[in-house]
Amino acid sequence: MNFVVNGIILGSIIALGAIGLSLTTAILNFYNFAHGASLLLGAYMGYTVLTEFLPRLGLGGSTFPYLSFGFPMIIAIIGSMGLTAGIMIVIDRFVYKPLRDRGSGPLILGMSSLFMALMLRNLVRTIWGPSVHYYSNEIQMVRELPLGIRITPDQIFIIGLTIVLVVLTQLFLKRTKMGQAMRAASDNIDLAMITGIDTEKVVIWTWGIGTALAAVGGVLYGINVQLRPMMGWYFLLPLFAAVIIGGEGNFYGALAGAMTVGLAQEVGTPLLQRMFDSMNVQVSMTGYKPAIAFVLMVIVLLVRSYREE
Amino acid sequence: MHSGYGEIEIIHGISMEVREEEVVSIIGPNGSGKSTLMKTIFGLLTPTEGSVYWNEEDISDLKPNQIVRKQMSYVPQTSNIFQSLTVTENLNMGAFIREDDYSDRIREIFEIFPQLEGYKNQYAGKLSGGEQQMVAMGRALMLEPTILLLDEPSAGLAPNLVDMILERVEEINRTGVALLIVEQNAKDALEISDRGYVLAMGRKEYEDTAQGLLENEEVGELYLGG
Repeated sequence: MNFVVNGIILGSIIALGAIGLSLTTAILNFYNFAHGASLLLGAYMGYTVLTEFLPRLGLGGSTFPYLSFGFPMIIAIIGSMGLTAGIMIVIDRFVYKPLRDRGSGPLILGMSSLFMALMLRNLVRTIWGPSVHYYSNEIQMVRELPLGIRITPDQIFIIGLTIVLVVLTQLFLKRTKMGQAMRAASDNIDLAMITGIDTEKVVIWTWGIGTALAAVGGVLYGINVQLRPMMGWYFLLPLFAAVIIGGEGNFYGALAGAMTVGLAQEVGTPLLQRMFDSMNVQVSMTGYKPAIAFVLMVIVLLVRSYREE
Repeated sequence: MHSGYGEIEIIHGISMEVREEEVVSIIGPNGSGKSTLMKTIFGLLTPTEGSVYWNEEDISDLKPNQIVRKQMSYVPQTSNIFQSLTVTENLNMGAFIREDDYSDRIREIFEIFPQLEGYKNQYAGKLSGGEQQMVAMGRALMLEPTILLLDEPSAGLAPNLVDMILERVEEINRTGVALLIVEQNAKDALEISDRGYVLAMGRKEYEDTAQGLLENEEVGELYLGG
């Protein structure tokens, strides 16, 4: 049962990243390999706001009841959303937009995003160092809930915040003109242009919202586990798996894909471990978690290509 | 005007005009350059020679998103609706550049296409072909254009729907909108048109009033199916 809880937590974090990746893939027509770096940057931006900026303003230390963090963390999350989204929008203006204007194809854009991912990762390592960081040194007590669920209050917060953000994002996409324009552009970018939709404005909003959500995902991962320079890289495969399983540009698809990948990784790994143990095969599955996302992605692509024939 | 794709010229020098509140049809066989002509007028392609004028302004080098601001709208032949948006959302997108309250306009669109009102919260991709065509035309009408370009509005529709769509075209025209229509159903299109152009191989073969083209024996034999 607890593997399921862990799967939902991981799925929540993946979902926050996958929504943005799904939108940028559909609207900009390239695979943004730097999206994992948005989670990474988000986590470290949150760290800097929390440990550098806020204490100087005399804000720090306080914690919410039960949780390992307090009001400063909320400010850190909001600050991280803004800062990380700002960085990605600037990168878009100076890197991807000139390439788009020159009519570069998905391959060139994808490759340049891969270089961006490597650059950002090394930048993080240079600024914050290669060792791991934690938002808090407090030890969280695990709560026992019915059905044998063991969960920390922080983890309940992670799931709760994800639900709130997903609902807000969905409302934005459904109810506002810009949200509808984002869906329109991801549905049919040529028609969007013919219709007079300001597609460059849509692109900026897409980067902003997609990156801000990923930044929250990064902070939540930092709360749940730790901050390390490789975390963006680690998330890349599950993110793409979620988007491909759910279909590019499909909001609910990205959510379902993220939960599928999260659960498959957290539930599938111990199941496989048990299977190998009973067969007396000496293997440790923990290192293969992302491989499960990869296998799922390949299966979905194969099944889909058969169906389309 | 000459136009084409890259090095390949498709339109070999055609000159034509549409006057205010007029319905003009462009007819001709497949590959005669009808759609290319339409795309060049709307700025999806740039003329290789010659120019496109709109109210005495040269719009040859403008992009589609600039041309829509000049009260010209275009409905492409295919992929002309946002499938994953509802009917109302499609109309909202048609009004994207409008800053004012356009709810009256949506009501007017539903008066022209009463069938759509019942489906206003349905996803456009789930509607029938005829209804999708109405959504596409409705979307293009949201900006209250003075001219509407329609690329094969009846393509792939059953004969009774073809008549219905063309009736809608007449009704749109009665509201003061000029229309330029590319059509395979040449006879039907000419019957609701004021004037027509016959294209073949990227050249203008005939140009006359719609009545004149319908009565022209040569045109009838070659392009209107006898």
